Amino acid sequence: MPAEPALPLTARAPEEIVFRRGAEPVTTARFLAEAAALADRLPGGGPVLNVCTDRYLALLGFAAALMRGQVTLLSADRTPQRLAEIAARHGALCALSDTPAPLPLPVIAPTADAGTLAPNPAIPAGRTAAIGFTSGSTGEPQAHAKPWGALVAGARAAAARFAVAPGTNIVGTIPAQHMYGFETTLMLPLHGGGAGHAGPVFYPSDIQAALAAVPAPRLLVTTPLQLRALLGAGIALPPLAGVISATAPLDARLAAEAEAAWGAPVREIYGATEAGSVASRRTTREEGWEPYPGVAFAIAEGGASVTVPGLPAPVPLADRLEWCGQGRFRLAGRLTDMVKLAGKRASIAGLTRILTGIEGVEDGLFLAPDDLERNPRARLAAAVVAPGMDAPAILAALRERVEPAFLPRPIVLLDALPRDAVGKVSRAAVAALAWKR
Amino acid sequence: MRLAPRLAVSLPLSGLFLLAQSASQDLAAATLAAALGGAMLAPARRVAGVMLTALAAASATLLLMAGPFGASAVLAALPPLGNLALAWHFGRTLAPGQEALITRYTRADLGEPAPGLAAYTRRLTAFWTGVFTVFALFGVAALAGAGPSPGAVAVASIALSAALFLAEHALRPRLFPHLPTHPWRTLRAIWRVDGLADAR
Repeated sequence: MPAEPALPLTARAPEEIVFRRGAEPVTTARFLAEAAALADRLPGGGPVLNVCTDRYLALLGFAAALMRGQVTLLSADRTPQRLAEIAARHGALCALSDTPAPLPLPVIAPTADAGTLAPNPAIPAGRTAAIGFTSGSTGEPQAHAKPWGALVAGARAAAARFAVAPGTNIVGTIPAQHMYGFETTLMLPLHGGGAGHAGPVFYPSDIQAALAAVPAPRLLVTTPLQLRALLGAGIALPPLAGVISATAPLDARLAAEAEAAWGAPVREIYGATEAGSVASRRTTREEGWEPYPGVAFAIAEGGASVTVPGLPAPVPLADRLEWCGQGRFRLAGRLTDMVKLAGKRASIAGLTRILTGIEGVEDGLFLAPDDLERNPRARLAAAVVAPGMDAPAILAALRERVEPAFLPRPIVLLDALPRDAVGKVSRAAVAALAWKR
Repeated sequence: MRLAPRLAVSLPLSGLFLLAQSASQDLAAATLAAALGGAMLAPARRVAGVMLTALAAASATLLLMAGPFGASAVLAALPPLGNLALAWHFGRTLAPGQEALITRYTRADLGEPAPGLAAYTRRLTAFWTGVFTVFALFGVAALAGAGPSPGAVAVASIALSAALFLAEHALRPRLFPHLPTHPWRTLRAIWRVDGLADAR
């Protein structure tokens, strides 16, 4: 699809509710006026580092930067050192933060000041609107430029795929700076439909309170980690129209449990910071992922790539993909985590799914040592969170499901895997725990 | 324990109890207080069951007052009985295989607690069990004529409970600095857990 020359900041009508701050609705007209007022406070030129935790303030900051023709830097990693590196590397002149931020550059606290009515500006589709950074779970974080046209196309595709009804309230539990959170909770209200919830929410009781504070229909946008926590909390949620999950593979059993508990379909998004959201599936019913409208996958022996509307070139993917009929594909592990032992191949991600599917295992992952290829005695390891289970019990359960060559040694029992706010595990940190002894 | 049906019965009873007390109607006040206690502790899920338990507690109290005990003695015995009930409410969750009450509240608030937090909330549940037991013992001693008056002990136990609750919320952020802690969060979690249909 050829990129359109310019696209409006928002496709929503002036009187439509585009966001909710607690119970207070914000119309498109008010949002535009407040964004214009904030734009007047931004220093000119240079990217803006946006670290707002309040999702509406994050959206205001993004819109204000767009109005000024400035790029927004989005980092899911909020450690001061990482943010300072990003700001320095990309020449950011200021940061937008609603919480105290020890950063070596001027920090502006955005406020939702009612300004005069402001126009809905047209933004060139090819202009870089944001730069997202990979989470770092798979290596050194990389910068990925997001043209405005690609962000808009992604939001439209998501709205079509998830049939976001008018009046839907979107409660997100992922930071707005994570590309998945940015697309589903900021861009979706701007160009798809529904109203975002400002939050921030993370813990089960806060998620419940946020959902209860907004009228139906409610869409919960979350992660497998938080789905598990919500179900484990054993608290009742108000009726949901749907649940969306991403950032990590969603166990089908967990998805089924969530659907049974909340009576709403649980859909999973496949994507990457580089490409954005590009496919989805109903985890309990479909193994194959259905590409978003307008998105084209090229799957070859050496790897797969995806062509995304608005992005200048096909994006190579870190996963191995296989077609499975009806235009859908299945994931066959990450390119970097295919391991070969005793002449057999297995995917670390697949083994991890088997591990976390064991009754009593709350969390865990398989790890391959660095010398797996050259050391014939090297074995995989597993880090497991399973209160009440010991290593022999876990091994016995795995023995029924996994080829002997891939059985882990050692199995390290941990209280919790070191995860960030969206549930991404630092594999290096886990490896250090697993092989320290 | 579902809170909503209990409150539906106990709140009107509370109003009547306060009215009776302000009018120095000890007999009515003691009967209503017993009904109130019965409503809050009723092993029932529905309003009808809660009402029946309240009625039974009120009837038993009336019988006691008609017998060797006067209305004022029954009224004075209610605070230590209330503390004993609270000690039982907390303490029974410390039995093997049970989830400690405050661990349950924490799970409702933050999700499955890490082992360190679970151990802390379990110890905290034991601590509150002890606190209510001690309050009950002081109440009984006061009834027997030792120490301050039963009324003073009752007021002190309520004030100390509130102070301990707030003090613990000041201590917890030092032990678990990364977790959100606020009395309001705890009260919200208690409400949610007790409001569940399948809650204990």
